[in-house]
Amino acid sequence: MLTLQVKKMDEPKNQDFVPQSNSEVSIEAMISAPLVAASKANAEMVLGQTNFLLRNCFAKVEITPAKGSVPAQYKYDPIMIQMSLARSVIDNNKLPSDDGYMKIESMDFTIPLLCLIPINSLAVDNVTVDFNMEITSISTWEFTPEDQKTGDRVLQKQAQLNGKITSDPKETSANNQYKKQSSSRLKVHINASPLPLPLGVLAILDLYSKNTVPVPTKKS
Amino acid sequence: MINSENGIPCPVCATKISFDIQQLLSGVQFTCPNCLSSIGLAKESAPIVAKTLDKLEEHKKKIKEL
Repeated sequence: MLTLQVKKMDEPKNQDFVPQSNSEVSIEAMISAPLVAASKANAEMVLGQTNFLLRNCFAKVEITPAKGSVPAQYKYDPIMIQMSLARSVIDNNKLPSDDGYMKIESMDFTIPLLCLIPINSLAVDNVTVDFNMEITSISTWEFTPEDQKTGDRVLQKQAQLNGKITSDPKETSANNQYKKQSSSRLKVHINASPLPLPLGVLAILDLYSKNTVPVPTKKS
Repeated sequence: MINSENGIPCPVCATKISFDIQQLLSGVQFTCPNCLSSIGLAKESAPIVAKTLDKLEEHKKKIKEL
């Protein structure tokens, strides 16, 4: 199981500060750090979308006010949008040659605002981590965990690889040392694209769409 | 799933009516391909939709800044 601790780095206190980009790190941290960052970005986007929907497509209504330490309870009512519907209706009591045989009937219906606005999810769906790593140390250890079912102990060996990011040998030449040092880098390609809406939102939309019923306008 | 495909079911026959939200806002009516009913946005609701679309654009900009 991999545990990562992401800490914000302190600002350099003097101008002579040089980031130790070539310091030794574990290979797990090197691979997982960009993935954790992408995952956090996805979570931020989903949370932002949820908050957007709740704030703009629903009206927050207080059900019970706060009493002492008991917080107030709220419900979210969808904001409804009024739409107009016009359709041709044939009067069966008249002949096709008569005036008023076919008339336009106007009706109103309401749909939730949620159903109108284009709210496709945008999320990171592909992360490519590309780097060259020079293994600088390998640490191994043994342990004998006890199987909880059988009580047997099995010797297990694990290894930890540590290393430094190095330059790509294809990109650098042997006589250009400066270029070789500066080209040590971790390349992270992130691709974000629209994804299907979450199932919960789809279920709400489906419920509303199946219950849209036109009602004749009072004018007609 | 209705809004992600830019369409709503026809209230008369349930056939999907495709629409463009900006055109709907400008008063264009969209016709059901099956029963030929036409739907449009009521004038009183247009400001609410326009305001929400503006907020959606702001929200998208914030996401891009992330």
